Amino acid sequence: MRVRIYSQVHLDDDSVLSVVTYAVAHLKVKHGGSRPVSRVLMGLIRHLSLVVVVGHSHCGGAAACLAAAGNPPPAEPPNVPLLRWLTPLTNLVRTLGLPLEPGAALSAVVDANVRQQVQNLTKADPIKEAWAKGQNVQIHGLVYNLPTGTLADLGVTQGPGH
Amino acid sequence: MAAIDPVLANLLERNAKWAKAVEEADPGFFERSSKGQSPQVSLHISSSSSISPDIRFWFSLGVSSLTFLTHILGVVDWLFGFEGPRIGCYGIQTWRDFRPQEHRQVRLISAPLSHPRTPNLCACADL
Repeated sequence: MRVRIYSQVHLDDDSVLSVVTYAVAHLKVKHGGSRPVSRVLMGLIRHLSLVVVVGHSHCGGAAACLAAAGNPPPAEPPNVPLLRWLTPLTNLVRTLGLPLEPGAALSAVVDANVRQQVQNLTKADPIKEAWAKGQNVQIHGLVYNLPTGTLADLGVTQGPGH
Repeated sequence: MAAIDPVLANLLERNAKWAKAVEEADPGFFERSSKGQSPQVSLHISSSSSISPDIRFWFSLGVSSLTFLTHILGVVDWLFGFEGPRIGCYGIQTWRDFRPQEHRQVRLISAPLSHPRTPNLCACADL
């Protein structure tokens, strides 16, 4: 899931669902005995799977959606791939009560997007199947703050116990 | 509210240490990186599997140094990107070896040797 324009988890996206399936259903098993991984890593892999949705501040994708949301929704779906890709977030932005200050508005969009993608993941089949089997998969929503290099937990964790 | 997940807590703690180390090695690094990006090699599509870290790609091109201060792409691979001994095979220097005045050609990717569980930087090469 390296190349993602603005952390989108679309539930009809076979790419992202494949990644999640591989990570959640297969990776932990395969890596368990075959690689000389560190004890910390072994611990992580053995007892849970960790999924992190990480947005970041100063995001161009979020800014584009914020700008696009200022216009009324188009009657036809966009014919430009990037706009199509970002349509769900643009629609989400239209539902938000945003601060007037542009920087604060952008931050709010970044946060809201992470929350939304965490929610989307909870509805993804590989996650639902893992939970149904009792696997301790935790989904965390974080935001990486560029000017400080630090991650902030949005406190929107989903998974057993939450 | 449930207590914070210990794994997440560990992740955040490592992140804080990493951010502090980077800022100490290169004051203002993060502030500059937040000003935008103009990488010269701007798109890198590859497997991001933990067993084929991206850095192998760069070294497979014979790239021995990466310029990253002015062309930062992003910070990735929080968990499974590198393992210390593995990256050591490539002779990559650590933050400890970093000298700010050499910032145009820094032979530096990340801090995995001295801090095995810190994330790597994904940097952009001047080819």
